[in-house]
Amino acid sequence: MRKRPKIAIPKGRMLGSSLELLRKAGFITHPDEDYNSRRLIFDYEDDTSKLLIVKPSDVPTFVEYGAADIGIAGKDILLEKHRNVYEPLDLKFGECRIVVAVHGNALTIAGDNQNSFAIKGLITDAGPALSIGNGNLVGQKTFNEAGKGAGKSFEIKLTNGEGKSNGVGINAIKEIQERYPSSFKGIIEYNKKRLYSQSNLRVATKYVHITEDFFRKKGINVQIVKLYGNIELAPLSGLSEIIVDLVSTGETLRQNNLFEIDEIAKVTSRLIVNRASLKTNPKGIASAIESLKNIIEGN
Amino acid sequence: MNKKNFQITTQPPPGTRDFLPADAGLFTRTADILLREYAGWGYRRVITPSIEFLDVFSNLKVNGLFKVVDINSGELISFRSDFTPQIARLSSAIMHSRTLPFKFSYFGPVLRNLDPGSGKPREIWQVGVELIGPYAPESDAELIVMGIESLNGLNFRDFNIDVGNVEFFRGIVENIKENDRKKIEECVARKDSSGLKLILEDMSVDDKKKETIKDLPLLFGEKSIIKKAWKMADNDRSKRALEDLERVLNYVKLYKKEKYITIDLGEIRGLNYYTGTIFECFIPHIGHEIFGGGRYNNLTGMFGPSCGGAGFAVDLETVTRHMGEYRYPSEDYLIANVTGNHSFSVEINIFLRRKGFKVEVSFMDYSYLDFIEYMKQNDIKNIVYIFNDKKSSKGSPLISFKKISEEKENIFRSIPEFKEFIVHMGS
Repeated sequence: MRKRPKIAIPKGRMLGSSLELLRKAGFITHPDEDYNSRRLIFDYEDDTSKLLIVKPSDVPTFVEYGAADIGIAGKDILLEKHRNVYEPLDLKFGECRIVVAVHGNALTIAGDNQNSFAIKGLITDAGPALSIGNGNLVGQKTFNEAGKGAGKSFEIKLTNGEGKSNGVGINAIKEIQERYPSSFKGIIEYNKKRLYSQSNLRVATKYVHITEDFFRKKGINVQIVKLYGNIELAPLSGLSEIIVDLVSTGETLRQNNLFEIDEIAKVTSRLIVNRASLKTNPKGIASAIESLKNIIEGN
Repeated sequence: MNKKNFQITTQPPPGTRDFLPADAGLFTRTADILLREYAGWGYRRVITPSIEFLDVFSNLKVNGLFKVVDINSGELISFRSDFTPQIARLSSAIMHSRTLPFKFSYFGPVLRNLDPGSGKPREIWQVGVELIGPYAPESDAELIVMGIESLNGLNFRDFNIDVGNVEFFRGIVENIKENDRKKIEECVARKDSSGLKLILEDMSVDDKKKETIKDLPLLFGEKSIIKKAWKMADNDRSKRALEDLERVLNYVKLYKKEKYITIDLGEIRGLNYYTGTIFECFIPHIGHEIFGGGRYNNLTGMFGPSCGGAGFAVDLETVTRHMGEYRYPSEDYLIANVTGNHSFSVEINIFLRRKGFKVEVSFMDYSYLDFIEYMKQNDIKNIVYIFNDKKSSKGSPLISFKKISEEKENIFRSIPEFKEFIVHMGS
């Protein structure tokens, strides 16, 4: 008889869902608390598998080298570093996205004098939806429309006695985002174009390869700054103009006055399988995949 | 280099390693066993240069090669990253003057410029064979049988050979646009069923074909999978691939080796030069194959006349690391003489060497226990210790003989006495 399969699962955000899935599939029997200690290997006799709980980015490594037969890993990690593993199943949980984001200040442009600045946007296909002339935005503003129709741009001039550092610009953008979505889209499009045409744009991220790949395919030259956490701090502190980061609800971005300008990839958790495990135990692995698939599709 | 602080690192470049005698011995002896096995099937060793023109390795990504510019011609030259294209080149060169088939074996390192942080070696030692000439699937099967027998010869028990045929996949996706085909290939190679489903949604491919493609990642398992594959084969190319696969399996069965075989028709790795049967050998819990190969009918055509070709390469380091309890018998001797009377050591040395043993005379000023420690580290089994008898100051030295695996020590008063003992021990 073959040994029980070793399963590597990520600690942190996806641990709960991973345990739940494995329990439903009959790989483990104990409640979550039993897998929540400082131990890293859980080998209960009544479980049909051995669990390794490791750092999320290490799961593919454990599986690739055969230290675990199967594992659960985020697609972001699999995209960032190519690993010689199979990924036969989208587990559908841990949904989030890898996006390019920019700080609100970068969406405003300095005006004629110190106290004035402007927000520019492209007029989208939806037409000149903006009627900001009504005076709902903070501070004084004038709205200039360069002409109707797609491709033309508009400009909102804002003045404030205390300057844009006071957050007036950001508040204005937030207001536009809430009330005039198509204009907001225009602002994002305009600034994306502007930023992407900058030479040597600096990008902070923990996903060096994904970022490199994304911008290379677009033909944009960027300088990548690798960070290990709190990526949103980079534009706030002036370390980089833009960031590439993982977002789930977007709350972190919102709280830090960051705005998404591009989506790079959608991310979910994947089942990954060691090549030799699949080849040396094809029946066992196929039936494991099948039972997990049934559970996911049953949901 | 800063000459004031002149100290070079003791470590070789990342991804390479030194082999101490014990490891190196294991390595070369294992290679010998494999080469001897292949020689038994008619394969004779060739030695190819360690550098080649870069274009020879066009199957690999250029950034994965160690390369230099040839000072004379300005051409790019790469260190050997794979033996197969070299042997294809060599075969093309001699094809007009010699009669096919060419059956070549080889042994040596290949260099691949991988990320050293990945923990994978950049210098990989391989033993392998190439069969240039035949096209018959039965010749692929013979290679598989040879691979199995050579592992049996090294006491491997738990392993299996995963067999596929790249033409099956190629036939299925033949009429799909190249861009889409690449995307499908990527997903199938990773057995990414979910991703495959997603990308197929946007493709203009008819629904029946889509269903067939969706099944590709799961087309692995026992022989019964071929039945399923026959139902999916909607074109001649795939059908021919399945016929070939069946011929391979039938031939392996004649050697009664079918219990080692699993099938994977969704396996398309190394697709670049393979044109038919592919196979890889796996042992449980080791993520990469211990040997792998396949058929490459177009490779010789890169250099000249095209003809059939197939072969495989064994990863020597993985094999030696996992061959378990395999021990090579060692009957080496150490002569330790603490008397200063060298005629004793020399006479015993000459005698033992004539008997065919490996003998070394120690010139170190060691104690008995230090000698034993040295022998353990160097896998030397027998000690001949020559010392003066403390009880009588006169007379000739005593000879002690001991196997370090045994407690018993034999003391001899003269060389003839010792010689006689050794002669009788052997019989």
